[in-house]
Amino acid sequence: MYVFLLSFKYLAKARSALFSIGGVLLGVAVVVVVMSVMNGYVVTFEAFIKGANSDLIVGPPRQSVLGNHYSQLREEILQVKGVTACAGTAEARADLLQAGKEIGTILVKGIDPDHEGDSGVLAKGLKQWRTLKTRFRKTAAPYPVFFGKSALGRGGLSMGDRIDLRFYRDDQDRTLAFQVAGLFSSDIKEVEALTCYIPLAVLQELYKMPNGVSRLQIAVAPGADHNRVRDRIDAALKGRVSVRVRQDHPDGNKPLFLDPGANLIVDEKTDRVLSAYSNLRQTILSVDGVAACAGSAESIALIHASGTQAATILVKGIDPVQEGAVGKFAEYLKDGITTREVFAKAPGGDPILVGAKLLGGGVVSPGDGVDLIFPVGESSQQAQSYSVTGTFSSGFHDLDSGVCYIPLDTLQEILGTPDTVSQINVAVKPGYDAQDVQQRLATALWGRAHVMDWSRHPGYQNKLLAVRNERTILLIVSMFVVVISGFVVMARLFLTVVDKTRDIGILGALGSTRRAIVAIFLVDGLLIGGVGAILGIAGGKLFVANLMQIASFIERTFNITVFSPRIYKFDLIPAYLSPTWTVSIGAVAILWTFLISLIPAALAARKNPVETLRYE
Amino acid sequence: MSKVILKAEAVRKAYRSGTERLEILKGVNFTIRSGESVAIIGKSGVGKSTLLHILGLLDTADAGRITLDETDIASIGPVARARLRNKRFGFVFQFYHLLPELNALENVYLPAMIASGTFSWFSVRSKMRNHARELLAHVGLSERTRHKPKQLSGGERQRVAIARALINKPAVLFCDEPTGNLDDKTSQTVTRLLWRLKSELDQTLVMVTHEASLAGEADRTVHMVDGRIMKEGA
Ligand SMILES: Nc1ncnc2c1ncn2[C@@H]1O[C@H](COP(=O)(O)OP(=O)(O)O)[C@@H](O)[C@H]1O
Ligand SMILES: [Mg+2]
Repeated sequence: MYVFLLSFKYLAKARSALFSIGGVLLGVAVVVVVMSVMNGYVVTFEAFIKGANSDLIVGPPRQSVLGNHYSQLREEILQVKGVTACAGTAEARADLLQAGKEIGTILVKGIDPDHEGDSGVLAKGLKQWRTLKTRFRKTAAPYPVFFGKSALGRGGLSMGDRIDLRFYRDDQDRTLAFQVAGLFSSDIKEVEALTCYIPLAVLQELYKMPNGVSRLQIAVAPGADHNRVRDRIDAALKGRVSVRVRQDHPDGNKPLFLDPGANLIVDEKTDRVLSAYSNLRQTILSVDGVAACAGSAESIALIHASGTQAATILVKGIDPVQEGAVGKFAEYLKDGITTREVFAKAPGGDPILVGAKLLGGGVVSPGDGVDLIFPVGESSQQAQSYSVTGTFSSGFHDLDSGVCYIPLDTLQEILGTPDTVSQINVAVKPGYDAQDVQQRLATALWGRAHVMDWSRHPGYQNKLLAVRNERTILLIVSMFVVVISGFVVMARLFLTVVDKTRDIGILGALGSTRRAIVAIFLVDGLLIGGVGAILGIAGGKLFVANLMQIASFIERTFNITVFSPRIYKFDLIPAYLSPTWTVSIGAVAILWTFLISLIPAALAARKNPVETLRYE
Repeated sequence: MSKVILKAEAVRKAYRSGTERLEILKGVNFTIRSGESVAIIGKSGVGKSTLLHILGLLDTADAGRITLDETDIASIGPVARARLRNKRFGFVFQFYHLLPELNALENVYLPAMIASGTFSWFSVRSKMRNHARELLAHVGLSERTRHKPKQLSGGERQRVAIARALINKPAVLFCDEPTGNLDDKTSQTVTRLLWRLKSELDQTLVMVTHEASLAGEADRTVHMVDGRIMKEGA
């Protein structure tokens, strides 16, 4: 008992104990805050994916739609053991018009109000979902439509607003044959898994845009000021296009879309295509400070190699002559040969470069033939009018700003594809293993549909993996603060031990064992760790609870953007830390201070009592 | 004759300072019987404290034998030695050696706390506190129980130390120049207190001193010269 008594007395007396406790507090608080934010992101993202995609997704085997037998498929799916519900959705891109003026394009999802579950994104984001969905049926124009809170950026749309949608016809898929000219590797996994490169000319011909590119990427000469060069280019092109420094570009941190070596990016201001590529290039190259410049075009396509499932990838049309000069792209190529050389090596079909890890890797090798299926969409001439029936807020930025919902039958009729959906979302009965049900569904629908587990979706999986990795890295980094605060505790304890040398001698004379003396200082360390950890958790939680206020305060005070929903994908900073995590962080901090306290405590035990007793 | 409690036979102790070997105890023979009081007198630096520390199991001898209650303490491990120090011996030092963070009462019952385990302490706590209070009253400090050592005079501190040494009813009370740091008047008070306690409690007492008045009342006085006990007399 005297062990505790003395621990308390020693702790209470030394003001330096406050520093130690403060150190542990700070360390634990930092870990709690960082982990809350990272975890919050992971958890919200997972919840979103689950909410948006249900447990399993039945998608088309090859084409982009499940052809005219949705009702029949639905019946079949519902027969499968373990399935509780399923509902089909169709999607299409459309131009969004307000008062006859085109204001952007949007992804339109047709949902089946009779079968759409009450647990999806809409149900969560739309308060009156239950009542609204009964009214959500095809009527005459204006048709009902749901919009996200932040659709069209600031302001958005409100109830009763009238808009028009002009759909693209997606039924004109074009299949082109390619021959794999080479594999590239990239330290960016997404690029390696989801991108392929073909000559720019192929895309230009396909989309009937001779001499057109969707984007120009510019490498600035070493040492030149990026902003200055940007201004010069802007002047040279007389403001016809938008020129942005990489950091200011919305895709600035997306290696999937921007070449790692590009410093400046030129986009068209209104249309999607920059015409007169060669002229533009000449003008830009003549600007002082420009090292290289290359145009590219992009498209999404289904890639199909023999013996594999079709998968969606990003197709980049690149200028084989110029591309290498801009970016690090040349470095990705395995054998160090230039893009031009590689592209020249495909005698049968157009050449294509695919990532070494494409579709998981090992699927194709140089010389193989692959098919790319391009959507060659064209706007339908007719636009229909809609009336905004409700606005939803899923908290997921891309969804709230880029997607709207209309009744499935409306969409089917407009597209001229009766009883056709692009995917069917399947809910699995509680207690059933999603993968078992997936197996059964795949067997039942063999050859006619492809069944996916949401977590296996490559896009989500990569994203989740990346975020989880980031979480681990940040955990390790922030844990360093705890490690350092442990050293502060140790240093203070050393001082205490030296300070209390005489007490240690006296206790020895009075019959204390060495173990008890060790314990006095260990309890001291443990108390510092414990109190620090508890206060740290409380402080961290408090910080997290006021995260948005703190973020906006910093934004106001320093005039910087702390949190951008656009990059972050969510409207609020999601923060969540499970009790297990919280307790574990505290426990690790306490354990660490305890372990590191062993060193000074052991020093205390080594002191010889007799020495100190002889003198004052 | 009463029972032998503690016996030292041919005890040797040397210190090494640099390359030099300093022989302090060169074969000391010494016996303490139950109930007796022994004064040890000798020049400063002769090795009196060293001997006391070895007898009190605070230190170990290089050679020779110490027997406590007819047991050779060489066969006893460090934990058991700590326990013996706690239960069988009381120490009073020249420099009081109270714990500065504890008040007088806590200092007095500290050895009782050490004696009982963490949990058993709660069952004896009030008894021990009362006992500590009685002892403090006995040494004339009933008004000073809540004072920290810093708030007490030298004589008062030494009286607290004496009360502390007695809390576990030790078989032997070792005093190492208990008045060495006190002025004459205070010395006398403390001296008188010690002898009073000795006779009241029939306390076995080993006292290192250079004061004739202290040594005079002892049953026996021994002289230490050149690392040996020179003379043993009544
Ligand atoms: N650790 C040590 N190392 C070297 N010499 C020591 C040590 N401890 C004590 N001494 C020496 O031993 C001698 C005896 O000391 P001590 O027993 O305290 O004498 P006394 O109590 O009789 O004055 C002294 O000369 C002292 O300097
Ligand atoms: Mg001495």
